[in-house]
Amino acid sequence: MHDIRTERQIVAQQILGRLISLIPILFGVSIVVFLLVRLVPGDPVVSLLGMEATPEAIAALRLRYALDDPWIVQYFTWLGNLFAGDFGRSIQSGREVSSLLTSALLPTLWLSLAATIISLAIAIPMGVVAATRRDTAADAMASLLSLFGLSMPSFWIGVLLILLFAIHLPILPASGYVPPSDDFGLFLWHLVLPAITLGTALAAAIMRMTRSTMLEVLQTDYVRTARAKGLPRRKVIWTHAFRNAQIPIITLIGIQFGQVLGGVVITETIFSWPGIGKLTVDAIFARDYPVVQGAVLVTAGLFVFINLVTDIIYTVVDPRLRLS
Amino acid sequence: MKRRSFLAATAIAALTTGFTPAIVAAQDTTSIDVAIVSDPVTLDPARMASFFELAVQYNIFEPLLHTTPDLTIEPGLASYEMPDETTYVLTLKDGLTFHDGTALDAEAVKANLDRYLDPNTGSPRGSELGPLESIEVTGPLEITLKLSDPYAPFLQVLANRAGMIASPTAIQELGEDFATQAVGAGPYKVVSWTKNSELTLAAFDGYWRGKPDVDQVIFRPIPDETARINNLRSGTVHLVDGVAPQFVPQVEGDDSLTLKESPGLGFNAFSFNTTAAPFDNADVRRAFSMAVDPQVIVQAAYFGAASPSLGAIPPSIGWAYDDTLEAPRADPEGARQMLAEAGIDTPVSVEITVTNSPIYVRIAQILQAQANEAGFDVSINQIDSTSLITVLRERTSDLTMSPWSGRSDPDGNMFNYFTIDGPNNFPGWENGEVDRLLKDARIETDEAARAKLYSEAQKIIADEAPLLFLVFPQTLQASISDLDWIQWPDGAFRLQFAKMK
Repeated sequence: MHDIRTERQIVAQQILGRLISLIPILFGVSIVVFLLVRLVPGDPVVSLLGMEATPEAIAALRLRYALDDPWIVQYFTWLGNLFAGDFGRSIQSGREVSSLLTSALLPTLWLSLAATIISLAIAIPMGVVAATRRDTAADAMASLLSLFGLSMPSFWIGVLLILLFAIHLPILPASGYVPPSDDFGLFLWHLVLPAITLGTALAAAIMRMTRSTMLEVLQTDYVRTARAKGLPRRKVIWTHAFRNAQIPIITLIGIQFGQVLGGVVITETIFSWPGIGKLTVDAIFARDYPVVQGAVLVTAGLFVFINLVTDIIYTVVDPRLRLS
Repeated sequence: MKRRSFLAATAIAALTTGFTPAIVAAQDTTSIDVAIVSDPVTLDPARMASFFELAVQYNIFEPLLHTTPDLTIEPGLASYEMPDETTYVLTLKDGLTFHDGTALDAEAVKANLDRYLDPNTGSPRGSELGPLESIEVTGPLEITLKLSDPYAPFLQVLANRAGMIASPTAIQELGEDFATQAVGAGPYKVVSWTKNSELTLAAFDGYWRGKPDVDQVIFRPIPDETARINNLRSGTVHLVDGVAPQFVPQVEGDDSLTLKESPGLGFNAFSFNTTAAPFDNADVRRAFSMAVDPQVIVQAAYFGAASPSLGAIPPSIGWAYDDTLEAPRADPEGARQMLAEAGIDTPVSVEITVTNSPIYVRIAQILQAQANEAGFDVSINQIDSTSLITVLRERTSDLTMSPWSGRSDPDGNMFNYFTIDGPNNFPGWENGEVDRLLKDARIETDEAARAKLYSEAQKIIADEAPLLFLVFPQTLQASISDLDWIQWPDGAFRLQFAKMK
């Protein structure tokens, strides 16, 4: 009883420590992103007015968005508003950044989650099979497939899937997003193709990682012992070996999930998926400072949060890590 | 929600029968999905400055006057009279309302025009309205506009963005949110707008021409040109803007699709930097222009969906288009000789700046190959589209792409580019004669006389070559064959005129 309490406390402490470390990280990110968007040549007002920009209109709008204030003033105004929960408004569209972010984050989260689930469902069994049947046809096939998955760019897979499943066999929509709250069935229907597109690329790396860590673990003494005891093969592989192969795989999934959040822009563009990747890229092109700042900050926060979740999962999977 | 559940039903039908119905129609309501190139930036007509609002703007906002597809001015919300050259009296139709029920009367029109002209609004409409000096309400439905000088393009301007009238109540009440929840008097009202996903409009019962035939329109930004066509072929969308020229044969070969093409209003040209070597010398500009064969660009970059151009006024503006313009082209040998005669040492280093979109990179490569043959040494600089404006204004490159979407009045394609103080005088070219001709053309109200002035100006421009004119791109759009709709040369959709066959 006593032991469990301490364990829990340690985990709680670790979580708390991570949450506190979020503050300096986000503070640093806020400074970097604030400076970076301003150091990129180009001007949000010129971008907004485009070919029709006259010097008077530019001046009026720069004044309106306080772009002529010294950077330090602009930074602290922005930061002060952030603390009050106000991300500001997009210069381009006049929308509230917070509402842009919430409406873009959810689609990206759904897509990333679905892609990760698909990739795990493909990669883990394939990786384990490839490792346990090393140097067989199954292994070669799995390696070939993963090479295929790694080398095929997602824009190509995406277009191919659209051609096949939306045009030749018209059973899935070619693009679009329906919020799950509107209609869950339709939401899933629209999710299939982009999730497969993104999932294929992720699966390849996870499969390689599963195979190599499984190979390593399968050669350890305790697995040999388990085999020698005469345990069923299935039990040796899944209960004994795979458990210990999980840590590096979870690390990879954590990192990939973080990258997916920031890197889905290609998939989002092909399938017109209104996610955070596309929002951020569009905002960068338009030099829409408040949107870029908000989006990068939130993505960074989410990335740190996912790392935290990964760490917590470690302690669940491997009790030894709780004490370290 | 109704649409959603119906879509779900069609989805299931599609899954079970392997067949996707081309159109979503339930209980006598029709809804179409329209694929557009990019999400509109804003729905506030005072703020619209990009190409991307064109596709949607006329569906939400009705301008005071109406332009037909052949660019004739007709009464719209208002009819007009011109007691003299600088006075316009607009008379609104009786009983007009905005989507929110606010009355569309003379006061509302005045409030809108005042807002466009207010320097604090920072609206590009201010300069479009030109010499508009006073706006007077002379009756409940009558507005008298006085100009400081005659301004020939004024009626076209009132039929475009600067003539769009928004609900003053909504502007006041919504504040910053007006940009996303726009309230106008056009055929459709805004139901919802999710950034980068869908802009949903519903037919407006009180529209002055009568409620539109198509009950619901959903605009969906699909930036990828292949994805747009794929969505049309799969029936996910029913009308597509910006068909890339390479897909023309594919669309034309499909019986269930209709392709519409018309000569556009704009031009595709590159601005020479005439303020610095080597292009401060008109002979070097002439030589470069002589080396280039626009026909190759028409074929290799536009797959035939464009026509070569020597000036800024396209054939779609029939009364002002000049087919007698001449300038030597496709003659690299002649260009080489011209450089030699002018005493220019070759190779002449030139930097071309384009945005990193495939078609412009291709055009730049063609220019590079052709100009290099004539003794130039061309390098290509690729940038993003926001930086383009800066490069053009600060003239940091020798030759920079400066495509123009075009206006229905030739003034919109000429004045800002070729007058000395014109905001789009990217070449930094100063020609007093052209400046005078274009200013005269603005105040001349007789069409034939104006056409003559523009011809004279275009001849000087073709000879002096401040811009490297390449092509007039066509407007290419496609739909499912069951949709009946009208195409305008500006590429803007006006879906009050669309119906299902």
